[in-house]
Amino acid sequence: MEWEVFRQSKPGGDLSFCGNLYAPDRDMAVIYAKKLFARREITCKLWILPSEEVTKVSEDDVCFGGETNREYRLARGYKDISVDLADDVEVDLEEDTTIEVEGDS
Amino acid sequence: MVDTDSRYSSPDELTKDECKTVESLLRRLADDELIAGEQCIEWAVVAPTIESDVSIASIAQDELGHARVWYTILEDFGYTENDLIYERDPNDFRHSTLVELPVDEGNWAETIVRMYFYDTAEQLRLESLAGSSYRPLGTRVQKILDEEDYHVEHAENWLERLAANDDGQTRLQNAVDRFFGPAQTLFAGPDDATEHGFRTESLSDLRSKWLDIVEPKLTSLELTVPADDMPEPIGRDGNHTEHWRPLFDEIIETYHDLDRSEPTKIMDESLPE
Repeated sequence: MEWEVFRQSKPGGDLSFCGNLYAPDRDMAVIYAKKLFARREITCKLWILPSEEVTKVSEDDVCFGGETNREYRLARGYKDISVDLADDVEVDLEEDTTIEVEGDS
Repeated sequence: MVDTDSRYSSPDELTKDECKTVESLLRRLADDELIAGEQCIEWAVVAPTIESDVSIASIAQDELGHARVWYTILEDFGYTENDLIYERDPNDFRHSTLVELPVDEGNWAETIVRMYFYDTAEQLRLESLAGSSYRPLGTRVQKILDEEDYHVEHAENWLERLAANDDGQTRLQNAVDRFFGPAQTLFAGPDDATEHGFRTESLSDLRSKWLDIVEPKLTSLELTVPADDMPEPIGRDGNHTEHWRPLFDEIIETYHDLDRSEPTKIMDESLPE
């Protein structure tokens, strides 16, 4: 019987898939998983589940999102700004930068 | 009356007799682990499944790691690893005969039964060292115990699995008949470590505790418990079975083949204070 194993390396962190194993039942799956996936690195949690209980959906079967160009939604244009640019937009901190909003009346 | 609060942290603080007692205790621990580890290595690459292969290879690694811990503490008494393993007189080894017996080729049940007997005893022995008056002993116990717990869990699970059908049951019974006697030698040898507080329980107490755990377990699996007579030789006094010499030659073979004069040390095993 096949089992899928997920591992968490720090408290609160993501569980990441680390592999699968064959074991006849749950007890043995736990015994094996401890050695196979958690003997070297610090591990705070393992999730071990029967492969047949995992619902698998692949791109061959369904159409996932992310196909059309929606880059305009991402603010990545502001990521690689040259430091020189800072000189051009230097702000005099002494100056009162409060913007007064006048009412309609 | 033993002052169990007193803590010795190095051989300099011990009398000559006390040194001998601690040394003898450490040699039994270290030699047992070294040979037990060596026996597990036999299964690497040929265990029943790849998962059980990784598990037993890792258990072997644990046991060798424990041996290294105890040998390192022995070095404080003025020895080198060479003196303690590779260039040592084979008649000087103090391991129990249980660990030196070969298993029939491919007999997984024998390996599991031996591991169950050995690791259950190891757990009890380590617990009795946690409060040792010789500090370097006590400080290393917890980490080793965590690993031994796994070894027992692994062995028990396999015992139950093998006991589930007639073929496995027969194999288990044969293995029990073969190893139950030799397992008694784990508790043989000089029993003076308790009076100095180096160990908090006597070997005879540990032995009855072991019997209290092992006998009901075997009975619950519908296995017959053999007589618990102490066999000869006991190993603990340097007298071993005829299987020891060839096994020792195998252990030191690579060392001599590569013409070494000292063992390779990959990791520095520093002891915590």
